[in-house]
Formats: sequence, structure tokens, C-alpha cells
Amino acid sequence: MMPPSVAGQPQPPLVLLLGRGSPFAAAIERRLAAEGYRVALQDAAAAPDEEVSPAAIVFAPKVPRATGLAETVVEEALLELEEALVAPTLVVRDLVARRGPDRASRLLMVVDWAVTGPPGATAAAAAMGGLVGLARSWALEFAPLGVTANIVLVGPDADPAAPARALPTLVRPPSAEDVAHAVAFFLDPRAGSVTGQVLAVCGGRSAAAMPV
Amino acid sequence: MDPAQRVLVTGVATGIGRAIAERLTADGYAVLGLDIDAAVPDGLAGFAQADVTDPAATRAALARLLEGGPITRLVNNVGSSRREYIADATAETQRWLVRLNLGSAMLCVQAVLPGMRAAGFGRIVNITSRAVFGRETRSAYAATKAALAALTRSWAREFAAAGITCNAVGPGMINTDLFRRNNPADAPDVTRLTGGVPMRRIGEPAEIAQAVAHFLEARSSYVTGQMLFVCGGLSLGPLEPGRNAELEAADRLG
Repeated sequence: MMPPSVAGQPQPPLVLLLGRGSPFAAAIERRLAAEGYRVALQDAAAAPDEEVSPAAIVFAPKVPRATGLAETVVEEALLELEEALVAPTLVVRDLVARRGPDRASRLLMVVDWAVTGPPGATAAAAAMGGLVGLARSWALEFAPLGVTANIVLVGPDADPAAPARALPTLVRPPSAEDVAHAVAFFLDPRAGSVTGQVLAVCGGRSAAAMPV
Repeated sequence: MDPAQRVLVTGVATGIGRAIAERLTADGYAVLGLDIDAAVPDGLAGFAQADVTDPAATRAALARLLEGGPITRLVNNVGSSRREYIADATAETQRWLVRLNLGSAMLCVQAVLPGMRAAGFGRIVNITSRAVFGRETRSAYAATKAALAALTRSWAREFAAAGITCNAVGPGMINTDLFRRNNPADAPDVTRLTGGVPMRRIGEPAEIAQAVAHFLEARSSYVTGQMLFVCGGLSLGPLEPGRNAELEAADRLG
């Protein structure tokens, strides 16, 4: 089904998916294509292409390697963190903040479970936490433009390449398609009153935990 | 000197850090300071001057402070912010704040951790912000503070079994030079927040120091991974514009 146009975009609307290499990129691409979007898949760290006018931007960033604090090389962790935060900032600066009515009106950040602070994950926790802080700030600053910014927090069992875990989820562990379903929800023009939110797709792992 | 009473406070020369140092000195701690600015409060038990955005210089300064013995309490206070609309965002702002607000904390915890592990005791307090929930005109800053909140959770779990707690204090609108510099009194994003504080005032640095002192106490031994907002109620969400004036008028009517 073709979605209604978003903020005056010509049909079919373009989604910029900045997540080449993400374990969820393929499923997100398939799901959005099935809903009638055009999807342009690029590297998470790609520089903004000023020629394009996506209706939505989905960030599915790389997760830094998990190491304990004592083993973390701070200089390397800071460089990774800077890259993780600078790239999406420049994208929204150029494709949202500096644009007119052809700006992207849906921003979505897909973050890893590391934001919940597992032990031994200093660089990963910092990067994912930073991205949540960015997306929440976008929600506030872009609200007057009618632009929404939300976060999908993916449980630790969703990556098919990750080792199987012994801990049970409350309900079935999420698949990449479940992540794509959440992405499709936030991109829908009918989700225009939802912004600044974190939706955990985690099989219920966060159900009895403090919110991030 | 009882090594358990040595506490390192970063960013000790001004603002919230200065108030924390003064409070902890008054409480009887041996307070060690780290700052780029040498105009530090009276009564410090030690001080090292360093630009904490420079990892090598920071490691050297921390090594000097550790010559006096292990440091089993740490307040990662140093930090800054820059008011910047996303339309004007630069990589430089984000890189600076990552190094200042996050690199400093990583380096300090790394330096004091062996002593805490050896003592089977440690208290780490990270100064975050209400901006962990996002802040317009401050996205680079909010990102670093949300990252520090995630680090607080991760470090709390990583060190919990060693008797080392790691918690965060999240200030709201606090009366400091940095606050005044970054918050023009008539800007809409500022009045939305200052006008929406349920306590109808901004906070004082000593009120942050009170929360920090709580987490640092030996008796606060079963609390870890938590964030205590010291914000006059603002982290509940600002009251809508005009609501405080209505409430004030109702108060006057009795």
C-alpha cells in the first residue's frame, strides 16, 4: 500500500537508511520497500548528500566493540564516539535544519542494547547513549517544524550473528523483521504526534528495568 | 590520612565543582582537585592543573595526585556546554564536548580504579544533567550527558561486585556562570524551562553538592547505577507556560 505523502514529498517517498552493515538494514529495506517507499542504503558515517530530499532518515549505526573500562584505549574510544555523534549531526543539519519544506520529517535512531549499560561495554554504552541524547534533542528542536525524532532500542537477542544467550526474554526474542516493523510504525504519516520516544523491541527484557 | 577519605573532584575551580569541593572539605574529606584553571578554592588537600581534553596531560596529572595514595572517591564534575542551533552545528563542538565531558571521566575512572579495587571500596559520582532527556539548542551537550548516563549504568554493573558504586547527579537549571552564559534570559527555549520549574526558582550549586555528598558516603553502600535529578522538579517535565503564574496567583488568594 502506498503511504500518503509526507510533508509534500513526491510519491513514492524516499527513505535514507544510514546503516550499511547493520544486521537490521536488509529487513528494514525489505519492509519499507513493501510499504511503497524508495530506500537509499548508505554507510552510517556517510556525509549528507545535498542533492537528495528524503522524507525520512533512519540511522542504524555501528556499535563499538564492547570492552571493559580498564581495557578501553581512551584515545580510540573518543575517536569512535566523535565519529558516531558527528555524522548524524551533520546529516540532520543539512537535510533538516537548513532545508525548507523539502526537509526530512521523520528521523529514527535504531540503537543497540548497550545504551542500557551492560558491564564491559564502555565505548558501546557511551556511543549508544550519545545517540539517544541527540535524537531526543532533535525531537525538541525540530518539533516546531513538524519533524518527529524517535528511538528504537533493540534487544540483545535480535542480531542473528550474535551468540545465543541463556537468559530468557518474556516473550519471543525479536527478529530483524520485528525491528523493521517498529521502524515502519514511526515512519508512518499517521505517527505524526509521536516524538522523542524510545520503543524497546526486546522481547520484554526491559519490562522490569528502569527506562533509559 | 585515611585513604578512604581522599576524594578527587574534577573541574574544581568554578561553578558546581567549586561548591562540591567546598562542601566536601567542610565535611572533613581530603579533597583533591583537577582543573585547567588554578584559581581553586581554599582548603584543598591537593591540586593538579591539566587540560582534561588532553589524555596524556590528564594521565600525568592524575599520576601526580595518586602519588599521595589511592583515591577511593571520585566526582566526575568537569564539563561544559555550548548553545548552538542544529542549523549551525559543527563537528568541532561535538568533538570538544566528547573530550571534555566524557574523555575526562573515562581517564579519571581508569586512574583511580586499581586503588578502589584494592580497597574493595569505591564511590564514583558522575555529574550528568536534566539534558540527558534532550535539550533544544544544546544537542551536542545533551549527547555527551546521555552518554555519561549510559556509562554510569555500565560502570555500576561492571564494578558492583567490587564494592564500588557508580551513580549520577543530574542538575537542572543551576545558578552558575556557565548557565548564565548559555541561557539568554529572554530566549523561548530558556523561558520554557525557567518558567516551568515547579519550585519556581533556579537551583544553587550547593544543592548539587548535597546530592553528591549523599552518594559519596560510606553508608550509601547499596545504591548504584542511579541518577538523582536535582532540578526543582523540572525533570518531571516543565509546567506549561503561564501555569506557574496561575499557581502563584492562587497562592496569593490563599
